[in-house]
Amino acid sequence: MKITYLRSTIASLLLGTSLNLAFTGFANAQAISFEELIANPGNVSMELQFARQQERTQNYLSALSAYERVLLNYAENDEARLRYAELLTRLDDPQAARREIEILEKRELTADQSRRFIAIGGTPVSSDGGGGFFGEVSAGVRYDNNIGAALIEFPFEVDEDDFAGTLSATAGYATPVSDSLSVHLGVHGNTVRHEEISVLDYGTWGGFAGFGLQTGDTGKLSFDLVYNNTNINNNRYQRQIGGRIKGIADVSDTVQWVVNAAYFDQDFEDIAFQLPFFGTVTVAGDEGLRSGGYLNLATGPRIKLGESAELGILVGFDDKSADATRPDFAYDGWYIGADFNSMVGEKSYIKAEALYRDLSYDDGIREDQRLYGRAALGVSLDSVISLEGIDLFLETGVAYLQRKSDPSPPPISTGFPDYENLSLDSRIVAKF
Amino acid sequence: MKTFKTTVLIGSAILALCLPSLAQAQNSKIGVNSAIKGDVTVQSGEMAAAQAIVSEPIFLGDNVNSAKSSTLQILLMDETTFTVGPSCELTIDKFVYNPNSNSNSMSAKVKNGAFRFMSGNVSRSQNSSVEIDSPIASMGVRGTIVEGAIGAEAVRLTRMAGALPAGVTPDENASLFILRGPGPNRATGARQGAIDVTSGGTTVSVTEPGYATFVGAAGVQPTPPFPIPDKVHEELSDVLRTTAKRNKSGGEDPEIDLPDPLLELDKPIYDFEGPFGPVNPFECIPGLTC
Repeated sequence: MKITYLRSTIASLLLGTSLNLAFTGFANAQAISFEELIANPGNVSMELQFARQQERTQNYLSALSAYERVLLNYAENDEARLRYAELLTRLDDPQAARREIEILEKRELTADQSRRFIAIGGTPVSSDGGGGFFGEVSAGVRYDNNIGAALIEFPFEVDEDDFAGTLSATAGYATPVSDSLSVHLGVHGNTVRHEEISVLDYGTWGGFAGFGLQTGDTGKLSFDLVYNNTNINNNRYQRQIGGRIKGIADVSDTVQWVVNAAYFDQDFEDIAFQLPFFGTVTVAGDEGLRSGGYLNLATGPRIKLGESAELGILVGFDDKSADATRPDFAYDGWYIGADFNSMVGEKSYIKAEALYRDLSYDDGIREDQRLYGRAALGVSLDSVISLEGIDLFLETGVAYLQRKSDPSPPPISTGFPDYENLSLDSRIVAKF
Repeated sequence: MKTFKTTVLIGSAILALCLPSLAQAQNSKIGVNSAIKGDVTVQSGEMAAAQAIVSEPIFLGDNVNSAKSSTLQILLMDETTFTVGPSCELTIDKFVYNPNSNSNSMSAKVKNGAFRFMSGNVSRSQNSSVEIDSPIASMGVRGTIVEGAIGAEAVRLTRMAGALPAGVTPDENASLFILRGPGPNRATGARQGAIDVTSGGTTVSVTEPGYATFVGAAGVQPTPPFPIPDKVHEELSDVLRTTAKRNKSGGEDPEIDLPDPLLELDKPIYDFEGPFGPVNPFECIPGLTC
């Protein structure tokens, strides 16, 4: 337990240091000189950063011309156009501002952009005061080459590869309520149904509600209450109730710094499984002892790479508690994750994510190292099916998972075997 | 005699100092091509006209010519921006800029087509002089954004605005000058813009954004300021500024679909381990991808 406290203390210190560095970094964001700018024509990131810099130093016409240069080459850059319209409004060129506003009224803006858009007299595309529905539904299939090995090794063979059907959906609504405040709420659910190994079937559903707060020109905070419910093999297994705080600060025009903190109260329940040869087996007693708190702290940058790509990196710390009699159900540990999204042309995208976790269980015996990565290519189906307000994609991905437990359990045991799995998946994704 | 020698020496010294500057003046880099669409050529000195290339320098006296549906934005060393629209001919024939001086100046000639000008640091200096001339009129610019059109385009746009003056037959050099901003109701510390257009011995000042004056032919006085209708502004903007692309259904093409960090909160945290090991082996990144 002392180790847990020590790690938590170190986590807090590092988090504080990261925050400090982030805001120091923001304060010292390197200025771009005009000489650098003209030596790099066509560099959109530099132009945008230069424009913001000129706005801050009240060199408004210079900022305006930088936005014009960006828009001349990237007419679909809504953020540049919104800032351009804001500046035209402030410079009292209402006719020119109105033209940009009319263009933006046909564009889908983020909640933050909608809020700013309303402030200059625009009506966001949803024409309901800046609010808008958002969501994503996906359905597909997945092949795992070794999913059965995720289970405890039974003293008999089970099929280890399997096909599964996947379905997930998220839908929500966000709307600004003032210049600096917006509210949002939504629901989500997903399920995986295996062809053979039904023990691994699971589904989750839940909801979230919260608000976002604009803090100055460069920061955002959001607070959410979250409820999640998880079923395994058609049994209710876990329930989470908790809250999250997320802070985002603009370090520069291309870098944001993200800080997350979440705490959930978790309740676990006994569940029954259909096992090969054994029929229905009820796992009694122990599962409830997994109940306890779950703390997650994480921080890292999100970096725009050019006009069409973004990279996120997050370093985090997890601490899960459990009943004191079962320290092997409680753990803490670090993780580092990254995700990358990029458009390929106007109709396709690639995305990739990777996560490495190093968990230390409170029984002082078990250590887990877990590695997961997935890369996917999404291709628009607009040319095949065209639906008003919905973007359809066919996404195909490959994923790899490795789990190593130390000490490794003996070949036949009730411990956790080392495990790796390669999977291929394909899904139809509808975004609205 | 001594006085004469001293005068000659000083005069020679001044001449020696000035001659290289004057010689250099014709070859001075005054800016760069910062954005190009379509076919735009730049003819420099004795050299043949060549296709404009982004980041290539613009020198004093260069002749810029744009084809139909083409646009070039020039960024001058004082942060002035000059945008030439389709079928435009432009020459910047004077550019004196010293960041530490109060007497900077610039002048340019537009012979044809549409243009847009955004003042830079030259116009900020106390005794600055910024002038844009058409073949028949001269426009003094005071810290502002201005648009204009010369030739047939000027006549067409002025007719659209219902402001063609009676009794004047516009010729091929007809000139339209439009003031944009900053306006009197600006919410910034930027200097209010104004233009003074001179022709036929008369100067007309335009001080209201969105207003213009028109000179129909050589020797004719500029019209009193008149408002530019949205339709005219729209047409000029389409060639001088930017229009988001239209897709086949008439809407705008979607922008890059990057995730909104605030909306990533919808995803559940998967962090449970069942009695048979982690039942959701496809972990996501708490707080990042889930």
